[in-house]
Amino acid sequence: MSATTTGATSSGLLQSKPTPKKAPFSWVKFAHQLERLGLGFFAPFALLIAKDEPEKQTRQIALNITLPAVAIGIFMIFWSVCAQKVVTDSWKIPSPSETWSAYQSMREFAANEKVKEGEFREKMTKVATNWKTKAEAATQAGDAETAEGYLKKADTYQSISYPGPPTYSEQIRTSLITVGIGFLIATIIAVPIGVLCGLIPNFNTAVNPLIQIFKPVSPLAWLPIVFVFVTVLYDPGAGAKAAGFGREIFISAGTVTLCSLWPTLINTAFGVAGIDRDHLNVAKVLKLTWWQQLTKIVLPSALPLMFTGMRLSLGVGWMVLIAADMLAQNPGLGKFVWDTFQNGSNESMSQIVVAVFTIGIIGFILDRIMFTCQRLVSFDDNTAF
Amino acid sequence: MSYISIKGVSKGFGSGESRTEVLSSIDLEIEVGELVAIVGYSGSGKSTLMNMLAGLVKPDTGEITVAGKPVTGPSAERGLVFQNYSLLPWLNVGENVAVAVDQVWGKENKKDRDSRIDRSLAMVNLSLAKHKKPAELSGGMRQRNSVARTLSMTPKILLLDEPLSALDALTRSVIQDQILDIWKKEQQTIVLITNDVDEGIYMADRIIPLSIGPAATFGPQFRVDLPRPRDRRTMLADQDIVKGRAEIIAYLLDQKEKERASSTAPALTLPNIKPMDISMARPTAFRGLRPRRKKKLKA
Repeated sequence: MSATTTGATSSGLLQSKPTPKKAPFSWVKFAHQLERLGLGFFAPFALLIAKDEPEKQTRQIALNITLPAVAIGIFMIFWSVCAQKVVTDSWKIPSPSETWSAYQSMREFAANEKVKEGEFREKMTKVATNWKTKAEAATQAGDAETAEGYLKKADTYQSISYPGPPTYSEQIRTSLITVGIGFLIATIIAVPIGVLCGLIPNFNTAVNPLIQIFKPVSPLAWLPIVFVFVTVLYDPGAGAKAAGFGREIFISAGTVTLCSLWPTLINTAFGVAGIDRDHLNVAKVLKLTWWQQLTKIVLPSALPLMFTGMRLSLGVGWMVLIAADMLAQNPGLGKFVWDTFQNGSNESMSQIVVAVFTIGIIGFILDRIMFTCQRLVSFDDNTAF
Repeated sequence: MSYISIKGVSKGFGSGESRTEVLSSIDLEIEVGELVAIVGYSGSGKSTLMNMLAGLVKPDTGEITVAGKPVTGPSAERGLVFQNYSLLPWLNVGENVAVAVDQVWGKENKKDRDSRIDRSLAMVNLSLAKHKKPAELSGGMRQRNSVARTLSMTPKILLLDEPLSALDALTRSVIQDQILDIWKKEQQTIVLITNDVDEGIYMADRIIPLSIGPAATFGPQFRVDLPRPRDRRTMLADQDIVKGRAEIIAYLLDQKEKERASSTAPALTLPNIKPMDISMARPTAFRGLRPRRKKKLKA
């Protein structure tokens, strides 16, 4: 409007800025969008392409890189000093280079395992084909019963899974799947209850004590209870076990659910209860039905806070997961850390440090994803285009 | 019987000790096609009156009828424009209007509804901003969006609840003209609530002052018999207008005096404390930077 208000005539005041339906792509706008979505690190690059104050952008990029580099450098020095000083009879803090070589050997191990698994599969397929040819021969000889037996044997050999230990990337995958299941269940439970709490004050009064009591409970205390529940409710078949869906993954995921559902629940309730009275008046004037009010006014306006809660929930869930994996023996990162610690070989500590970094980086990425989602649904900024 | 009729309407909020009467025995008759302005201080119950006309709030006593039928709830024929726009921030300009259109004209097909949206945006000169979000609009544009949403329901009565009080003077005069244009074309009956007497004189057929609450009532009304379109520059030179304006302002000022005189609230006593010598609390590390003590200043 500011551009048009300077146009002296009063009719000029009324003209809104012309907005072509499809604006041409602009790197400057793209940079604003990056900033809005929490990817501000990349914004100067986009502005540099747009040639918007290139010197300023180059300086910004240099700062964005050098400042963290300095901090990381100081941390590395501190770490190296620790590695030399913190030594017990059986343990030692690994140095950065030891950690790096541990990471390399873990990758090597994974690559070897892959080769071994391939060889194993090949062998099994060979055996299975042998039995199949035998079965064919038997059918031709008219001995259907023996043929069936042979075919069954072929199937058994084909379906034997590789008995080697899980590789690191498989463990990461298991962890992500577990936290995904836990987070999904938590969201499915927390959002409706949160909406009810926000909509109906009496319901909120009723359940609030339960929420307040269960919220601060540690994952380690929930785990035995979840264990009993999963044992009673879920009996995995051999197929499910082979596919990695044994009881332990659900024990772990259930613990994640119980610990991570509170932030979503509470934030949803806040978002729904804190809805602007004016918006409700609009709903009343338009005579929206209860369902229309919920879907057109209440839920959209609570969505940003809901996502804030979900972001917090996923953060809590990822933290809880490591502890839950350790106790539930779910073959994820937590179990990796625990097993490696128990193993106590020369490389163990270095591998644990690798796991620490992995957990941190994955947690960071998950948080960024949720932050971006949160920004996408929020409407309280004016950079949208 | 007039088109809109308010008879002996009272309204209070709260219960028991904390109950306050907001409006007491209000009477008002409004004819079809009339533009009536109600002026009063903020907090005098203007919005409560408007919410009762809109059907959002029920009067405690008395009755409001429109075309002979009592008001029992909100209706599309009485369009309320909110003071603070009340746009839904997650929808763009067009979608905000669409919420109302879909609700009131849901039986029409998509094309007809779209043309209704476009028409009402055109009425307030907002067609070009159809795809913008409210956050990207200026205050004036937001209020026009809000007006467009109300107009899309094609109400017979427009209830404007201080629609312009949050806008700057220039934008305000522009939107005043726009509302008058729409009124001329669409022939609605308009009830305008305002805190600006001159706005009332410029726009309304009748101005009615509201006394200060609690238990607010209407003061003596003033009919503005100026030909339309009115001219802001010469309007205030008319002798009758000058007199009427002075009377209304005098009434409103008297109200304020009375309120002050009858106020039982004790005079505000300021706390009897002196500020500490802040320099005493400074950490010793800043000793060299310490500002001079009061004693030294006195000396």
